Amino acid sequence: MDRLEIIDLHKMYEGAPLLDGVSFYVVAGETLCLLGSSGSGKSTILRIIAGIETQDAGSILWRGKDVSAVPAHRRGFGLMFQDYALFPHLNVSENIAFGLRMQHAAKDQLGARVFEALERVNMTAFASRRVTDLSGGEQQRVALARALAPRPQLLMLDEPLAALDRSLRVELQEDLRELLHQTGIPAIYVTHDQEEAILLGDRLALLHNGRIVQSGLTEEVYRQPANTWVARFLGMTNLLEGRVVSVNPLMVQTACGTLGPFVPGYPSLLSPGQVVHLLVRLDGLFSGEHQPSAGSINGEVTECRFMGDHYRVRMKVGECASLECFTASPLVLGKALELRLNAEDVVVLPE
Amino acid sequence: MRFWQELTRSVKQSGVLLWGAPLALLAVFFFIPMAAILNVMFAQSGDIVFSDSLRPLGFTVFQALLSTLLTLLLGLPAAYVFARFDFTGKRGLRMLTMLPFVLPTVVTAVAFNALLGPRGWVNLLMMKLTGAQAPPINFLNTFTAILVAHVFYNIAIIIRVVGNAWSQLDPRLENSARVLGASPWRAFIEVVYPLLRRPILSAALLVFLFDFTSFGVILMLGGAGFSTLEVAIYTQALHNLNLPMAGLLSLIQLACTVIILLLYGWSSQGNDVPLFPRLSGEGTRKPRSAVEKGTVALMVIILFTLQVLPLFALVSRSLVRLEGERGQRGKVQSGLTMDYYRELFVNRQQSVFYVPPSRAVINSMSYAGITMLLSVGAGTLLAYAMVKRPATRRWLDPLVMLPFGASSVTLGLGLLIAFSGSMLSRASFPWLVPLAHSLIAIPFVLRTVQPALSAMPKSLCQSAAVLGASPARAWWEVEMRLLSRPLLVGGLFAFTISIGEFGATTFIARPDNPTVPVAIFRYLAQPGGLNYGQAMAMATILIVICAVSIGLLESLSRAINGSE
Repeated sequence: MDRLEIIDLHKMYEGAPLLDGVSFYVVAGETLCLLGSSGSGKSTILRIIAGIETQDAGSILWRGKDVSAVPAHRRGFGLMFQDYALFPHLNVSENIAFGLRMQHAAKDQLGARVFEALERVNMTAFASRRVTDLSGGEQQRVALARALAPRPQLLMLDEPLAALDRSLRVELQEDLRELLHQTGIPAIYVTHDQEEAILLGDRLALLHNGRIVQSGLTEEVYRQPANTWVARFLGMTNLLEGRVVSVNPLMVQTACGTLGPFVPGYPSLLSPGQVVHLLVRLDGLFSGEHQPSAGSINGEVTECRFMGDHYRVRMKVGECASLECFTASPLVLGKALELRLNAEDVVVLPE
Repeated sequence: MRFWQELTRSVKQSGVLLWGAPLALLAVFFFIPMAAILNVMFAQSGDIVFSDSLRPLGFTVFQALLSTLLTLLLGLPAAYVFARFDFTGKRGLRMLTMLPFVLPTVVTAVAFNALLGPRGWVNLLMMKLTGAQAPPINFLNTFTAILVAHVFYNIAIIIRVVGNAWSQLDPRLENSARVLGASPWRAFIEVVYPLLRRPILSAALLVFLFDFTSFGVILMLGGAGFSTLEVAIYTQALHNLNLPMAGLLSLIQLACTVIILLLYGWSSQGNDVPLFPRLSGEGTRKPRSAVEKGTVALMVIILFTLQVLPLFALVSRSLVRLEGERGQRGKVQSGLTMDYYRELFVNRQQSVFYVPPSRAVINSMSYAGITMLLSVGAGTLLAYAMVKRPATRRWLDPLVMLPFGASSVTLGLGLLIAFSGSMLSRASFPWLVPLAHSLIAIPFVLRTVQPALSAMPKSLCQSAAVLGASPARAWWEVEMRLLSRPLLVGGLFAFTISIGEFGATTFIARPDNPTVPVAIFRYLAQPGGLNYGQAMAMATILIVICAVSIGLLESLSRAINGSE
């Protein structure tokens, strides 16, 4: 089965460990989004898998065999570089034909396969254009076609949309998603943009401090982040700091009083006295009628913004913390509120 | 077994496979000759009069300072005009102003001779008009001649270096200074000049270096009255046969040029920091006010007169006969003639050589071809060594630059002394001339190839590898294709340098196997209209060869900049 597995990858960079035991896998038919802040070593992982760089320790298994000793040009993996790395001395179709020529593709097939690759990315009209005359989005499509043309066993994309402006990025995200599912080959997609990751990734792997801190199906990761860093990185900022009072039932002491009981989440061990954050869903705070299952908080409206189909309300809670929630109607600034928490809307995150 | 693995690994690490061969070339043909000069100096003592070296040293510094000042005085306004204005014929004028710089010094000398010399156009015209018997203008063998020729020769450096920096300078900086209330003059003094100070300084130092090591111009236009270090080395070695004295002068020359080069290296560091390269042509516009139009017109006229007129005089003089040739035709003929060119193929008894002068053209061309290959090969290897092993650059770069700074006459003298009587002597080793030329040309090739190589994104070769190209194939199909233009530019530089090289060649070219510049020098030293005309004809051939290669260079470097 087409399966790539990375086991315990280590790499030093300028005297400090950049990768400190990275492990993950990707199988045919799925896209794995490798997420991490810039400089976290995401690109280095791709370059090691491609064979351009070598790891200090660890193995890269393709179909169960270690390919660490195979040089880059014999691995048969495709890598799309962040700056696209199109050859400036070759035109669009010559760029795409490059990988096919390296495979000694038959002359008569060459033209057809280049055309096929161009068709996939809707660039047939550009076949004989110079790559230096293309716009960013067009270059991105050519680079993708070039990476796909030799029919690689595995496709890696290194922040392929980072250099493009927002509207173009959204458009290309859709195209990319469709294309990746069409080809069915295992794909690793590196990005630091969580929106892109949600849209494109079947699974996510989050890289932090040289390790994969969480990996799993995209929805799972979102529903149940492993810790505060993951939540913050994925853009969830509705956090309330606290300290565990008791584990069973799970009670947490915050600036707004002791709250709980909560449902223990991600398999991590919590102990009394431990510092945690409560992640509260944006639509999980409301002044409903029925009795809240996990206590209530007193807040004061400090900001109310119209967001189109709802209002986003920011409230001051306790001395110096704040929370946000969505409401259907606007609230007056300074209004005092009682926020009711339900256990299923709160995740308790360790540091 | 283990030992061999360790050894091959450390050899690979050091990059010796890349810089080894070029460095060996440098060791044999530069460091041994320099050592030979030292050896002669100390072994054959007696004839060294230290105080005799002070006069040439003082004069060298004086004339170089004055020449540099004059070049700046004329070059800075020219750089401004080129950087900030669009006018018809700008590109043509730009190429014409570059031409003198790449032309051999010998041609510079001959060109001013053809314009202002005793047989030159101006004097012949004035004699015709006034009926005087003697040439009224005495230009040859004057200090003025040296200064004018140096400005003619070096103004291109100021225009290129300062003009390029100026045109890259974001015009918005100047505009914001104006909007903030600065007058054009204040904006120049407080914004433009501080940002251009480094390029101006480094261009001025380069001009000073060229004026300091100037040889052909001073020998042929200044005459016996003006002796710089270079000319003094030449006369001591080849005329007075006082090798120890020549050696001492060479050492002083070497010390001076090393200091100038160090200053130049220091001044050209970080040149590009405050500049904002934008779209090309963004900061230029058509001259608008009468003052601007006047400035541009005046600059064009001055440059045209200084840069183009002497060359025009030279070319036309090679095609026109204006006086009877003593003892050859018997009567005065005047009018258009191709005789001077035809004579190049004739082996006359009275000729300066015992072979037809066309032989010199063949020699020069083949030496230049070999120089091109050698220096491109060595320069490329060095560029790779410095880019792949950045640690080597620190010590390798100054070593390679040394022959360029050592002055050609010193190099020639060293080669002459070191190998006389051996199998590498000029009599038995015909490769000596192109090898010497290569040492001078390698820094130029290196300076063209190295930036292109280090600017090449690493991802290009890596993506070729991921697409299935073996390292050798990626190198050939990606790196070499992308480097082909810089390589060609470097090669053309080397070719042009070799074609015009005069100082070192006078020492190491065999008398019966001269190059074109050496032949021109000998012709000019001979009396008679035919010799004069033949010098003009050969110089014209040199101009044509150099003009073709600079034309190629211009269009190539435009294509390189355009493709980025």
